Amino acid sequence: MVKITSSDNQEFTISKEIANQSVLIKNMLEDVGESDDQPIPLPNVSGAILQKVIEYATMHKDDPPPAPEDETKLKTSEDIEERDKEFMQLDQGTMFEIILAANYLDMKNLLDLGCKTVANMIKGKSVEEVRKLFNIVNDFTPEEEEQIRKENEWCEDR
Amino acid sequence: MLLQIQIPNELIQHIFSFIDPSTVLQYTRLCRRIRTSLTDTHFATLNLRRFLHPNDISAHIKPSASPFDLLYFNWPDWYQTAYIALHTKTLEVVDWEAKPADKELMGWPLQNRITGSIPPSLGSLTHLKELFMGRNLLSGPIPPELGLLASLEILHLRANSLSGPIPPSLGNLSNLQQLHLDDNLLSGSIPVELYKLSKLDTLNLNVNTLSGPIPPGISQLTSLKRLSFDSNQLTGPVPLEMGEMVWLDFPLLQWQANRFDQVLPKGFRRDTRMWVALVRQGFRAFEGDTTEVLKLDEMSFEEAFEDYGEVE
Repeated sequence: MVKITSSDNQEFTISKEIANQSVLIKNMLEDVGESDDQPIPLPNVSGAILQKVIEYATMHKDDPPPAPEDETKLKTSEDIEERDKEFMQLDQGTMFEIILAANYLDMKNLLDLGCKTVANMIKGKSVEEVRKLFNIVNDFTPEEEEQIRKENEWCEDR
Repeated sequence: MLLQIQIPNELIQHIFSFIDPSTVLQYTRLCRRIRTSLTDTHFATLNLRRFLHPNDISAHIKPSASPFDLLYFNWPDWYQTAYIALHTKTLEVVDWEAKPADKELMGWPLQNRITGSIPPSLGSLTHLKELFMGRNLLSGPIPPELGLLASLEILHLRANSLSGPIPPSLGNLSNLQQLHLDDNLLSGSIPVELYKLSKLDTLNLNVNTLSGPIPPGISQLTSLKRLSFDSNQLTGPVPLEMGEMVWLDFPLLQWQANRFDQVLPKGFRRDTRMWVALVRQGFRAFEGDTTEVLKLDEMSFEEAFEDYGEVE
């Protein structure tokens, strides 16, 4: 078993196969060796988020090892498993925290899942709708925005 | 605000890379942060890799314009550069000539016509041998970068709305055999650099707005068979040296509807079919020459040679 602690000092004990889904933790374990039972500190991830990340890793612990890259299959955001879709039904704050945590912990599948989920929320929406959805403040001057709108004429409203 | 402020550029790129390359760039208008993240060749490569089928970019021949090829002409330059860089370095034939939807209907209507201008990034396809882009709706200039296509043998740009001068850099295409620039809006003079094209077999400049005289040196084109510059605004005399270009396939020599001097230069060689062709098209040997062109038209070439071959 492996012990990890969150930024707010919550300690989690997880199995090695779950821990190894994070390339960051896997490398750390290899560096410190088997005997060390000191908890691994993860100062960039809160306990609440770490809880979710462990939930994801537990769900996927029995996944077969990734098949060699299938060159003929496109990796787009449509190919999300149903259980992953359910897992990602979260408020925006948690969703972005999980993306940041997956990036920090180096968990490619979870990072892809988070980014695909956000991409699917953006797809098909107008710029104005996306601004509203994610509270994005338009920081262009009206002249700049008009200029960009002109540049983008070919790809808007498609 | 999370997306705008807390997410690093690299993750913004990761997120947007899952959105189709035909629409993703509209989101450069969201805010400055996102605009900066998406205005980047690395992002373009990431995005295109997700959506391009490996077969699209590994073939040595592009037999027609794919939906991505059509987009290529409209993308901003960083996308164009990334798109071309993803293709196999050994791409040899690109056939983007617009083709009829139904061959039965007299060749019309054409389908999949490309709009936009020719991207300079095409110049990095250095193994390209044949490039066909005729019958599209291309406008703007011919980019000088096409002169970097060192392996190019055939360049077809006919029947578009290309404007501006013929770039002198095309003279660097030392393997070029066919150059079809006809039926465009090209202007300026014929660049003398084209005379460096020692393998050039066909030069078609018909129906443009080229002006000025035919620059000296044209007889350096010793492989040239088919030369046509009908319907331009070329002026000056027919160069004396053209009389020596006996290797030209003269029935295809076309130069009507220009503004050449109608009197041929003194000493123009007259024992060639070139001479007959010129006289047939209304040129005269000297001021006041009363050669009956109409009568000449009805003669066989042999007869014409008998009558005019020895005239001084």
